[in-house]
Amino acid sequence: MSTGTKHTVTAFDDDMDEIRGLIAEMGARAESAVKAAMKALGEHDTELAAATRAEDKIIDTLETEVEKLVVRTIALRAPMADDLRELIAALKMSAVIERIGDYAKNIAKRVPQMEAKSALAGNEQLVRMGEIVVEMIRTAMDAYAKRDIDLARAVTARDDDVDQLNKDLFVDFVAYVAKNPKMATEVAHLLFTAKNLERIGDHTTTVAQMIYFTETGENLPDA
Amino acid sequence: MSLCAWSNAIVKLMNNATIDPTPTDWNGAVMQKRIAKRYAAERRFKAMGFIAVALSTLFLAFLLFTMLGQGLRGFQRTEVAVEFDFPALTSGATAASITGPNADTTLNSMDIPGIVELAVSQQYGDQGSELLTSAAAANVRQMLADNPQLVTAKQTLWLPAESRLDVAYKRKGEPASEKTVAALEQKDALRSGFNWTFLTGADATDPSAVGIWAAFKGSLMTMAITLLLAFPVGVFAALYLEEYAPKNKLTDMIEVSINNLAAVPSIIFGLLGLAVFLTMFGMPRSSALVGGLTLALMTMPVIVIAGRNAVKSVPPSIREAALGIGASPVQVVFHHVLPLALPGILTGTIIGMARALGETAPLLMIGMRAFIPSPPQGFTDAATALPVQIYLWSDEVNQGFVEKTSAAIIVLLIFLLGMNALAIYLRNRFETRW
Amino acid sequence: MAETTANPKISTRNVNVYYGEKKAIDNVSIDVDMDNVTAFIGPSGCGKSTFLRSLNRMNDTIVGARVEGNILLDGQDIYASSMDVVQLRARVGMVFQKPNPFPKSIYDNVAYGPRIHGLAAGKAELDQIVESALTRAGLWGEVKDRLGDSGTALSGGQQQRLCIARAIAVDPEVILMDEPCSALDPIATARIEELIHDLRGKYAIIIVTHNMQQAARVSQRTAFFHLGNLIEFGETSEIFTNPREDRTKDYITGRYG
Repeated sequence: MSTGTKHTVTAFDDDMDEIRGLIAEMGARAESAVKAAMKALGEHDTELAAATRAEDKIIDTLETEVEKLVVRTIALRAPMADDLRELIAALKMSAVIERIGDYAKNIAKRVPQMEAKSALAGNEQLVRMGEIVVEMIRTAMDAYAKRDIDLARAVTARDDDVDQLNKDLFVDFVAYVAKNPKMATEVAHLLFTAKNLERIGDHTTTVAQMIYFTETGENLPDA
Repeated sequence: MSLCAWSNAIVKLMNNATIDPTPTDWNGAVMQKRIAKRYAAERRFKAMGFIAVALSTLFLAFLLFTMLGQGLRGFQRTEVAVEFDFPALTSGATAASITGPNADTTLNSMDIPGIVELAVSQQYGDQGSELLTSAAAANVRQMLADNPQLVTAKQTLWLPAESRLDVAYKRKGEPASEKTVAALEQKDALRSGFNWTFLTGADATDPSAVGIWAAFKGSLMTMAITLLLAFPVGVFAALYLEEYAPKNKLTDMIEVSINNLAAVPSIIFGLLGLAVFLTMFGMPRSSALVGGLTLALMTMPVIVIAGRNAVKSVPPSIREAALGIGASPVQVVFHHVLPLALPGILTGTIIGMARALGETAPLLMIGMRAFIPSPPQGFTDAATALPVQIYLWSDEVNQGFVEKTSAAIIVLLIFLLGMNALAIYLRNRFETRW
Repeated sequence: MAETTANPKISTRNVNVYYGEKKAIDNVSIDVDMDNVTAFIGPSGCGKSTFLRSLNRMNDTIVGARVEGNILLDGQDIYASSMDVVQLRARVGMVFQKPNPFPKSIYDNVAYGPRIHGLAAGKAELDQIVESALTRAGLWGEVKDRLGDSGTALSGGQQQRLCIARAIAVDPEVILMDEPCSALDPIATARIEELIHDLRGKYAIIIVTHNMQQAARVSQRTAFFHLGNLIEFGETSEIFTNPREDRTKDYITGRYG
């Protein structure tokens, strides 16, 4: 990859390209799923929420597809060095992105259970958190497409912001529930949502780490 | 990376080559015609090969047929019955007197040629002694020595007939001889017997008394000298040239010279032998020793060439294997290369020896054309060889020599056949497959 | 690039090998120790076999081959005039690409080396050497009842193990293997690889192979040669997962003609 030359057996390159395409598609779908889930939550759009849950099924299918392809390629092509690393990374990334899809689905699932036009759903910090996570996913997939380890490093840096927001949100919501005990259910849902977003951030960080590993053969040092 | 670009270009080329192939019409008229042509060519080739083989077989059959037709008679002799009244002829010699340690002296004192002549002329008249070959007296002497009891009574002995009579009895001879034969046949005094003299005797002026043994023994002795000299020298030369000699101009020149030497006409070797062994070293003329040395000169290049090929055909992997566990070059040669090359070397040697056995010209040059009436007793005695003997007999005018020549050729051919059979046996016996 | 180990069995310093005018090996320095199997990999004509054959002076047999630099066996220069080449080859055994047993009996194949080096005092001792060599080569069980059969009558894989037994029988310190499995089927190959694994630690083993998977399977250290140069030398696990040099990576990932 760094030399940019093709394999002597070009079918090997075709297999690798197919896997890369599938990962990119999974990433794009996961990104829009998270975005849609947050939108559905903020606008209490149950239809969009349902669509997001359906999207997760597609991501699951894609993951199975990637797994199958990776196993087949390892078995048939006996990949070495960066090829091997990329395939192992692809396997792990697909699993992680699938988890991101699951979290998006979780968020979407809460939408019908919330009261319509909840003032809390539009919480600024929560929305901000969603935006950062979506951006992280986009950056990560960008880094993947461009094989850019600097971009990958940037993704991991953003994760700290998400963690901080999550902590702040927790304190705020707990204080809020103390004042408005009737809203406990609502707050619980939103706390879980924040937790889900935090997890998505962690998984996206894993994706970035995998990109770094593929390119360098080393683990991304902790920022 | 240039190698990479290159391989990619090849891949591209290959891809282009496979793009859009026009399907081949394997059953079309053009294809069928091509197939028919191919089969015809194959049949033509087979037919030509068959004709070639048939032709050479025909020639061989003709040669063998002629040889056997003429030669087999050479192993037979015509015998005349002669009655001996030994008690009268020998004036009462006893069986005891010609046995024991004094037998030879007694027999010598008996004047057997005179007795034979007397007996024959008593029976067949004055011309009687002309019926028998000159060796008849020696035959009688041998019979008496073998069986002393004969001397005590009247005996009818079958003695070898004279050459012209022999020819006339076997086939068409001179009119006078034919008449004699007819007369003798009426008396039942003629018969055919196996000619032991031919196998045990030496050259003689009378064809009915000649034998091949002297020439055969001469050939054996000559071959022995040739083998003793040419085989070791040839094998060592081959081994050295293949295994040790540095690959340079000098070695190349030696190689070319050896190849040339193998093609030099044999008479040149004869001249060389004459100049070197006889004139320079003063070795005994016409001896098996000089003949063997001369033929060894001629055979050596053949052995060297065969030996080199045999050594070359030993796979290098065997040498590497031996070197790889620490065998020295000499050990590699004597433990592995030579044993594996030996069948090939032996085959080449025997073929070279067979060629030497059939060689006449160089032996003529060193004087092995002399008349040799008794087998050589040592390597320095005057000797002759089979092919020379054949050449000499074929030159004789006497009708009786024709069949002797053919018979000698049969002996030579059997000898050659035996040597080739030995070559094949050795090759099969020692050949190693890997 | 000099890759050094604490306790090298063979160490080469700035070795050049020439075939006539052509430089086949350019400035190679490498250390090989007893504890590891070392694999030489590289494309055809990269000089890996040439280099291997210079380690027991098998190149001496090739006209015009010339070696410069130092090749040390236990610190002793093997090209020094004091080094006897016959003894050297007994100490540094070799197994070749094509199984090449002598067309002799299995017993004589193994006994040949000990015999010419006078390693056995009598018949009993020789028997013992043969048995132990065949056992270490994993062949004893298969041939113990037919030691008199010709070595060439064995299967390809058995022949190669016989050749390994033959090399072991002279009690070498180093065993060089020049593509020992290239003529064998996968099962026979696996048995040789298992054998190499068993022999590790008893002998310093160097194996030249075209098969990168094989290098990965049997060796602990791998050297990659390209156009007569040593490109990279290091831990096998490192070379095959994360090679430092692009040329190594291109070769082992199959991006190279």
